[in-house]
Amino acid sequence: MNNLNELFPDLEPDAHVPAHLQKVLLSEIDFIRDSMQVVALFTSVFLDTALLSVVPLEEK
Amino acid sequence: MEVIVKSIQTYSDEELVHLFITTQRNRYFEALYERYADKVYRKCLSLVKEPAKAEDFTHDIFLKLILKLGTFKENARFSTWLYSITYNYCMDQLRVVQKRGEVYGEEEIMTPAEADLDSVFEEDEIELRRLQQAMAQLNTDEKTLLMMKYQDDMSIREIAEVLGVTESAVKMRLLRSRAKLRKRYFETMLFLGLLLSKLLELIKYLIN
Repeated sequence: MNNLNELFPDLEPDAHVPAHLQKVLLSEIDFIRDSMQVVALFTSVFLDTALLSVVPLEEK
Repeated sequence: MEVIVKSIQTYSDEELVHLFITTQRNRYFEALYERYADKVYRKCLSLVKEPAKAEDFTHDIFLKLILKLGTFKENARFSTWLYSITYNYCMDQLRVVQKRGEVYGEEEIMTPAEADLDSVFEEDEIELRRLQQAMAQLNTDEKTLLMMKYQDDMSIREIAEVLGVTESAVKMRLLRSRAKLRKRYFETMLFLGLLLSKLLELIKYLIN
């Protein structure tokens, strides 16, 4: 079975991933990160506003 | 700038994962990508055979990796973890294709349970080209299992974790996959022998 251990790495095709894929992935990662920041920012602003609008009502 | 590049190259995979999670800087991900993109792409290509599909799969696997990075346990090997994502993704996608009926199921073979795990291939010389042809005739699960064991040098326990089955099930599947590979390997040899004998007969007939 030693033969298989030696031969299997040679079975992999001698191919390279297309260069443009890295740029595509990086731009998608940036997009995901930016979207998450926007959502986080919007949520915190929304919650802050909601809190501010509730507190004065309670005081009245 | 050169100092930064050099220092990134000296980081281990696990350190790069940690740095990417904590800093969210793309250059750490890029370093990981440069180390593993070709390997992942080749694995996908071995399983799907179509470069365009292999490219799509590689893209999806790395996106999946980004989303799952937070769950990576630092005591695990990053390469094993990434390969497990790769194999699971490819197997899932190819199962969907099989369900659609685009690929036909392979014939089941019976293997004697008492067969010795190490004596399935006992030849001194295994021809690479014929082994490739034999591998091409296996189904995705069998190919994946053999690649995990012999290409990535994963242990039985690691394979069991990736596939979500017991270690004894992995051993049995490995035994069957190797037996099937051996069968296919000798079938290609037999086919070539028959072809050669027919050619010789034809030449004899033409000479006479």
